[in-house]
Amino acid sequence: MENFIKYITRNYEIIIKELLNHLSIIGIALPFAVIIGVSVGIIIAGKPKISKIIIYISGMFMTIPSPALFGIMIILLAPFNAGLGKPPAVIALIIYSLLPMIRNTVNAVNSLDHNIIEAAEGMGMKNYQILIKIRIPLALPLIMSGIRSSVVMGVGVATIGYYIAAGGLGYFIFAGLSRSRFEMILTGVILTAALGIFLNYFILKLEDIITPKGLKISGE
Amino acid sequence: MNIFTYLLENPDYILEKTFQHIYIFLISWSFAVITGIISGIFITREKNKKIGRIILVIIGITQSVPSIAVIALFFLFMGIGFITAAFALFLYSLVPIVFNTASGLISVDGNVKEAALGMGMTKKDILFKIEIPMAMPSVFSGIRNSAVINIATATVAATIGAGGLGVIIFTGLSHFNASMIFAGAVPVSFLALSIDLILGFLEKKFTSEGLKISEEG
Amino acid sequence: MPIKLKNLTKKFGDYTAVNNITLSIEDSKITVLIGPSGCGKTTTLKMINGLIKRTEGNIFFNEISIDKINPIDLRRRIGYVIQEIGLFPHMNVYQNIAVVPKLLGWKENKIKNRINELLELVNLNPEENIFKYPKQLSGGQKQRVGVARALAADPEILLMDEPFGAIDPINREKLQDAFIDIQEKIKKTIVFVTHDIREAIKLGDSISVFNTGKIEQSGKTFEIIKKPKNKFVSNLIGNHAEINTLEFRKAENSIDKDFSAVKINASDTNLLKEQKNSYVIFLDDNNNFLGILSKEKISQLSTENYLNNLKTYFITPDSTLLDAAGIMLSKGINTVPVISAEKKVLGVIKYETIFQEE
Ligand SMILES: Nc1ncnc2c1ncn2[C@@H]1O[C@H](COP(=O)(O)OP(=O)(O)OP(=O)(O)O)[C@@H](O)[C@H]1O
Ligand SMILES: [Mg+2]
Repeated sequence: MENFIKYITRNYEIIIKELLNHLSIIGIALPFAVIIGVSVGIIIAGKPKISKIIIYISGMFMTIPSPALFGIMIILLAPFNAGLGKPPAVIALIIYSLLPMIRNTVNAVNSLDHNIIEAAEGMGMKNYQILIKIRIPLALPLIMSGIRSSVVMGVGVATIGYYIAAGGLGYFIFAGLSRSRFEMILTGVILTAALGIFLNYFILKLEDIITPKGLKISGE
Repeated sequence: MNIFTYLLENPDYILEKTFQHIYIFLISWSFAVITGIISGIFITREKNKKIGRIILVIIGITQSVPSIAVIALFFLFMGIGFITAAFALFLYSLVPIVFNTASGLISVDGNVKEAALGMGMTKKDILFKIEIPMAMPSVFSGIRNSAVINIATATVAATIGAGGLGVIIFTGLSHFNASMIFAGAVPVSFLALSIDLILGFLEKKFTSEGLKISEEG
Repeated sequence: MPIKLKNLTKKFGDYTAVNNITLSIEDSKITVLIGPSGCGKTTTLKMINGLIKRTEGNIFFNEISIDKINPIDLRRRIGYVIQEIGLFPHMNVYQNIAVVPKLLGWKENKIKNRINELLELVNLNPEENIFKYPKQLSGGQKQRVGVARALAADPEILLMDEPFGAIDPINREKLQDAFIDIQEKIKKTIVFVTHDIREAIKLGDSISVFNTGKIEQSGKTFEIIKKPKNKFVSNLIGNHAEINTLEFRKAENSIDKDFSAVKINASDTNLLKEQKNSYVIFLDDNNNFLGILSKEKISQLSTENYLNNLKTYFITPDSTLLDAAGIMLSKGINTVPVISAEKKVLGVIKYETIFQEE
């Protein structure tokens, strides 16, 4: 315990740096994941067969173990001089985020009641108005929960960034493991766990804020 | 060098690691399934409601903790080794099973339970004939999730002595050896997909038709 | 099986949901519990099958205290239909209905026969519906399955908690009609909870009016309508209750045999004047109904004119008293003949019978 306190007081600069590194990997990947995931989701929604196939394929990506995906990224990106550092980590994260993003978008779009859309059309709304005023607000909460899954997963996945020189909180855990430095490991454990819990909670609150009031009144 | 090279040149080693991987998965996961379903049932019983609520909150929080944090934490307590890894994997795959079992049981309509009680079913009848069959889809989604997570996390657990295919992947990663990484990753994905396939088949078999029909259809 | 509630009380903490009620539930009859939301109807019902434990008082089945009966056995012998039906979504229609028979260890063959019988009773085609799941049924069909399920093991008692509450008015009416027919065949002791006074009057042999955990009045349906004990009951019943009840009363149950009938060719004026009733029915040679005239009219007309002036209104025995009242009010008469399909006079419905019974 003493070691631990000593360690964090001496290394708070590194801690902050790696925390920011960690967040930036997630932060850079996120917009790409959202754009790709949501557009794919919107395109394939309403086509049950294609949706099923695409969701299955993105599910297959999820079964690739994270260190392997990072490794594959290094090799694939090496010809572009981007083999190490953040780019492979970011791309790997985007790939992992596809499943939750696509699945939730498809669900969000499909769960829209046709009657509502018809009613909107009947009221003389144009297509883009329906998209902005009806579809997006109603779909947003589900898409947001897809974002939450991606981000929370990203906190864990990004730790592997340590192995490919992308930095991040993985440093404390993996370097700590290989050097048997308990205080480092503990730092890593606490930071990653706290970050996951915090981000989950934070986005949950966001979801709550953006959910139209009428949708919150559930059965109970 | 070809990406298949390592895979083709070391089939025995890969097979050995695959079996190790399956071994730690089966041990940790099957205990998690049994314990998870029983705890899910336990914490949703009327008399355990208070503890149940607390446990569900803890579990909800745990779900947002990365697996690597759990693995490293157990290393801190138990040191390196197979037992540590298996135990960490067990606990980590327990979470979705308990959570899904409990939420499946909780979401069984109160009216349905009351109708059952009113018809003269005992608590046991209700649990086995009504609640569990109705929670089946949710239980299975927990089990499937947990299996896929377990197999993937087991690779990371190689860093604390789990053995298995993670060893090949991490060795490959530290040598930037694509062929080696590939040789480790392919069986992992294959394992995850096959287990999921098998569980999907079992789910179909054990879930009532009546729960799958959508309201409109 | 008759049920007696004696000084029955239920407290939830400090709150008294049911307050010292005493009620005799008649064998083979429908007893309706009615009252505003939260007045303790469901609580009372659930005390009867032991889903809720009473705080004070007692419940007797055939004079046997509920304490002497194993609650699980008791519930297997009481059919129970709840507010939201509570069909089991993972079981098909067959399996849903088979639950209690299976609990009771019936043979598969017996169950199968029983289910076919029940589905016919509730007017659902067995072949078409037996393998359907609840989600594949309409609201009305679900409700019928709910009733069939409650009847599955041929219980002597049926508890029904707003079984038709969630059904649209038109289908509710149909279900009520079907239910009346069913009860005519099965003659169970039924305790039926509703919010709807119209439903209560239509179905109830007796009605108990609940208010904040107490019974304001209970008795035969007509007693309640004719003699509401207090403001609460009369408000609940509403102003038009008497008229409304007419719709649910069959003419055949109110036939008055005390009527005057003469053969048309025997109709000399003196004979007609001797008739003691204010209306005289005219028959042909075969005793078939020809028409009706008031004595007042008779005295104004010459004999030859009777035939031309005969009023030919009548109702059939399966008409309702509302039909009879409608004729009386629109034609300004106070007696309507009831005529069988064979044109024989069965009797008359009198104004006094409709509006001043008991
Ligand atoms: N388990 C319970 N705990 C506390 N109070 C209860 C409980 N069950 C019922 N109550 C209260 O007892 C009162 C009577 O409830 P009950 O369900 O019997 O009403 P009801 O007449 O059936 O009403 P409704 O017509 O709305 O179904 C209500 O005020 C209700 O809030
Ligand atoms: Mg009620």
